[in-house]
Amino acid sequence: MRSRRRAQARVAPRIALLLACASPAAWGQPQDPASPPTTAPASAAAVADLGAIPVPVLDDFEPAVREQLEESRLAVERMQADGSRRADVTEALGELCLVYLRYELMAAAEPCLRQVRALQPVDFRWPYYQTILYVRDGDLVEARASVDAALALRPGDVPALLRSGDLHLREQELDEAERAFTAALEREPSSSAARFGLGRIVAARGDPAAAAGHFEAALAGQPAGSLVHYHVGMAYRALGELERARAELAKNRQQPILFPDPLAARLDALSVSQRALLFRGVEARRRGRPELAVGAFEELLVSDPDNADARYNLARALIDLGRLADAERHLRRSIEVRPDFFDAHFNLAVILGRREDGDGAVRHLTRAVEIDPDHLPTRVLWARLVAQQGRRAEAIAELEQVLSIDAATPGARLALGAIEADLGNLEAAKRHLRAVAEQAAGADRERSQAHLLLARLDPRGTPRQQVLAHLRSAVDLDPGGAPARAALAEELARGGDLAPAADEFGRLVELSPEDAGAHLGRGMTLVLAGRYGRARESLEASVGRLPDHPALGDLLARLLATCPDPAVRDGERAIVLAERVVEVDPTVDHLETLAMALAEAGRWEEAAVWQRRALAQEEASSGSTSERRRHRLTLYEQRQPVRAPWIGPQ
Amino acid sequence: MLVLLVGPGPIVADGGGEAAFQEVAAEVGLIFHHFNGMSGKLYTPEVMGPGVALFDYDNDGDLDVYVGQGNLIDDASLEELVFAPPGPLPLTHRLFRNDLEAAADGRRVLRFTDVTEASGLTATGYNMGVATGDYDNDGWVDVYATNLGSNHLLRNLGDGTFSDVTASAGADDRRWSVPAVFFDFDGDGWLDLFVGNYHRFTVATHQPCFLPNGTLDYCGPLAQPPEGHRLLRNRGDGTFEDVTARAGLAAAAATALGAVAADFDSDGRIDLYVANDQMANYLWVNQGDGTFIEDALLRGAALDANGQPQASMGVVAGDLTGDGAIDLFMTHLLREYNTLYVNDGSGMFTDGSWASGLAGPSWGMTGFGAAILDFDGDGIEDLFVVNGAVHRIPEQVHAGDPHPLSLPNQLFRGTGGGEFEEVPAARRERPVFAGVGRGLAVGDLDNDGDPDLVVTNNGGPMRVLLNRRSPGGRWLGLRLLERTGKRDAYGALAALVLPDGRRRSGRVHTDGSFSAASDPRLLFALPGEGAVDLSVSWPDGTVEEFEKLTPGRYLSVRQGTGRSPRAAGAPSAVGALREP
Repeated sequence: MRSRRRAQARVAPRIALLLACASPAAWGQPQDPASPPTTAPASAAAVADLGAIPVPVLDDFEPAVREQLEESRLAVERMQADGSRRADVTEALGELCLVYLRYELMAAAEPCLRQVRALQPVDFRWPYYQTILYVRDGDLVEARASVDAALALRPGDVPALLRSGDLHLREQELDEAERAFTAALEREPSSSAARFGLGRIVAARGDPAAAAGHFEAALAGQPAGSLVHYHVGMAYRALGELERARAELAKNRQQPILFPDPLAARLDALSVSQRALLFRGVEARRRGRPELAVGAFEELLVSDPDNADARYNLARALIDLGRLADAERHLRRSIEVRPDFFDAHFNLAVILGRREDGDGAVRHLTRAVEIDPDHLPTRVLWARLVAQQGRRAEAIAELEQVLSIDAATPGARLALGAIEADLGNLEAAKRHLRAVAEQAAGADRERSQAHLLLARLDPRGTPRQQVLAHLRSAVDLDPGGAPARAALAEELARGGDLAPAADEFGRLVELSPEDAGAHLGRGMTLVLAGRYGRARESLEASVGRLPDHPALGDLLARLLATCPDPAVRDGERAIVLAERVVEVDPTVDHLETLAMALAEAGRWEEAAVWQRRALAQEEASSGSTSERRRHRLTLYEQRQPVRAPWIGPQ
Repeated sequence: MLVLLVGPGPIVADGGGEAAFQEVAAEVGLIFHHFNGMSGKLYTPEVMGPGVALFDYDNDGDLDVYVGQGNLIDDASLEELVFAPPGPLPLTHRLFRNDLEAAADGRRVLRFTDVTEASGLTATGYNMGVATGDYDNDGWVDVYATNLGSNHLLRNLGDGTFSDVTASAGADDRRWSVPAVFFDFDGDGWLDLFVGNYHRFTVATHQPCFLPNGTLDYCGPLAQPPEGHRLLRNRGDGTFEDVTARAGLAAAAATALGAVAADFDSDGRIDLYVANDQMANYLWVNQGDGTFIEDALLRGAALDANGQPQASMGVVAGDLTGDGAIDLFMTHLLREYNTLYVNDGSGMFTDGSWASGLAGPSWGMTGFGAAILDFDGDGIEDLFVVNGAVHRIPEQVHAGDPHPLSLPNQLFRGTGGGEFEEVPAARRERPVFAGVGRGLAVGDLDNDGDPDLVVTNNGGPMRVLLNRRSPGGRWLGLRLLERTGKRDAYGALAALVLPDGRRRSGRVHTDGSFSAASDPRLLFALPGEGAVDLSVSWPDGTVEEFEKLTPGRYLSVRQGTGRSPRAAGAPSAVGALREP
């Protein structure tokens, strides 16, 4: 590879810089990079042999980058011409080398770094940057020689040791790699990168248990380095623990272990490319760091506010962060700049659909389909939205056309099933939904949705066991899908299977911690199942999570006021909760709960007062009062608390 | 026309040098120049094709050549094009007939004739790859060409012509398809078809991409959403049924560039491996009930040794470590290393790339087509890799090269035990050339018992690399046929037992590499004297033995004509063999 590049460098056009004060003879011949010049140049003008460094053709470059490259080279030229100090000229030459390296102009960067290293043979930076260059250029032999040279100058440099270890490890030179990583660890005992390297060495030597230890230590120091999970997984695989291996492998998000590397950071900071900023942002988002991506895109938009790509990508990162309103604004602006921006139309439609602006969503999807009619998922989404607007015939026609193009589009068949169900065409709906549901592994989310729809399709005509089977399949196929789990939990509760229902609601709470319905379902089913202690515990957690939700506060208050288990009852706490609920939402039921709490605390008169208020409010709204509520008033007047039925409203 | 005379006499075209292969495309009449339609907009598809296939379309016993062609991607005018098309647009894929002749003195005359027009080929899709297989079991090998846009299923009518039956057979896919594999996944005796797709691309939605240094360049694989793949089950009546979803492949969108079908876990069922560009690769493990389960991650064939996805362009499957298990070798991008996934026999793989010696030399290359072959006849498998960049090489840009993606090829000689050493360029091919290498098909073009190569170069000429191994070496060629004797038994495993008891193995296939279909015949170089015995594991699980095969020729071996391994002492079934 290296010989190829050099051969290409020979044929690349070069511009000989004619420096007034430096003759070609004074520049001398290219020197062995490993050895310093035998005689020091007589003058500053003889320091840099720019003629030996090809001048890249910069026609395709962004203006700012081109200017930076040209200015860096001219700076060296000027300093040579005006007789600047040798050290200053060399430093400027080194800067030029780094700019070349930063923009991966290897044919120029390589001879440049060789030259500056020859001029400053004891400067650690140059062989270190040569290491980076040769790795990027695919010449691992030169890379190892360079990092060895760098370490000879600075034996304890941790980044160099880590790079050295990595290069030796690639070539299966395990002893050399181990020496490097061990030395790095001695200098930085917390280095996850060194631990990671040692783990790979131990794994290569056939000791997966010891390797797993190193990997876990590396992860403990740098949990974001998810790539290590892959190595942990492979270690467990080697140990025969396949399920554990599978779980670890699934955690790999390809985030590498990072280590502080000031010289590499200095190199990165040299870029003034706007396109590089875009690239950096896209990479950050791809690696699961949307917040970093937002920073890169916003930085780019400061200097180029009409950059539609930057705006679009910024919107995607904002969507990742849940900032949909901001994302919508940027998507609209990117469409203004580039009206045919398919992806911007598509994503804007998705956002509008989420906030139930169906017309807007359909409008942008229609435009997206016009731009790219071959993108079938867009057409499926369009049909689904159009169907929601009641234009079902159009939707069906579109979906059938999609299926005629690609029968393996489960989203299309699923949508067809849903529309037929809405139309009351149960047999047609079943046919489509079963076709989706009965597929083998793959398309699991669509299969889950099909099972869910089948469970709900004909509640009266479908045996309960069949409904439950569909719902369980829906949950199994998409364990992270909240609607299916909620439906299963509700069906179990409805059938009196309270304990499993409570478990399902509990999982639903884990999936959707802000879903008050899930919290209520869990609390209610635990109470109905007679698991009062667990019910109080979980409802306290729910109220802590959603303190402003009146129904949750009311349920907990009523449990604390009326529970048959005295260990669970707590009248004073019930009063506090019930008063807060009544303050914000004084319904008949909530007034009753406060009365129950007061009764539990022995405040009978106050309980009777609040119960009368509840009765009066009930009569005012419905024209009558229920016997159950009147009976409770009687209980309070007789100084008796409510115990059964202790929960309501029934 | 110049002709090339090959073995047993000296190579006439060029007898000098020590190179393993001689480039002879012009001499043998395989003159083809790929047109990629590039017009300066840097559409990624324009640097991906074309495909090539070596197959015997006229059943005359030698390998013919089908090569895909590009066309315009958008509505660029001729003035905008970087390269002029080699003929009136739209351009058609080409078919070259092998008119190999044996001269009176025993020498062979290798010569190809362009029979595209006579064959009735009308395939004008912007080509990416080619797969071959006799999907209708009529004894004539058919062609499936993957394209940017609709694909072509070309039925071989047996009279020297083809008919495009894509629509009537239900075999189309309008997306950007690259790899395709014919394989009988359900064991019903009819070849099914897997079609892998890359990512979404339309001219309307194309957006320019840039290198980190800010210069315009071709987009990477993740610039657009990946596409789903397609599994088409052969109904046996000339049509295919789309079973992608039913088989479990529907949700697996990925940037597929390579695919191979083989029984990786030794359970008697053909599995499917898909190489995805910058995404985890897939190993679809055949469950035997018409469904597959994707399990590449745990099986160690999804990611490289670092846990990262690679570019995964070309992929070949074969026993590269000599232990009988089917390993995987894959080619990748610059600053990645070509991967050797070593199979332990149960379908569990370990990345053995660096220990094999294959990784280091590939770090600075971008590989596409790959072929497993024993080029030097030492009985150890070697590897040939064609390279060509996908990101513009700055030095070539600055040198004014309008298609600045050229790289040299690489040949790795197997030294045994799964270790390889790179063969120097001067000993690899003569003349040494660089190009934008893409497709690579391997086969014995001149039927002289050593493997030759055909290379497609994007935006460049097709190359023919004729093996210059000196004649006289002992060898045996086998064509394994299923029971009717009409169709190659894809997936059959052959084990050759040498007189000294050593075994050599081979798998009947045409898939693998990148964009290419290779010679389905098995070719073994043999040491020493004496006849050899053969054991064949057929795709349906049956095993047969054939005794005392005479080397130095190609033999056809039909399923059902050998003897059961349990029936020791039964008469030899050599009579069932025939020369093609």
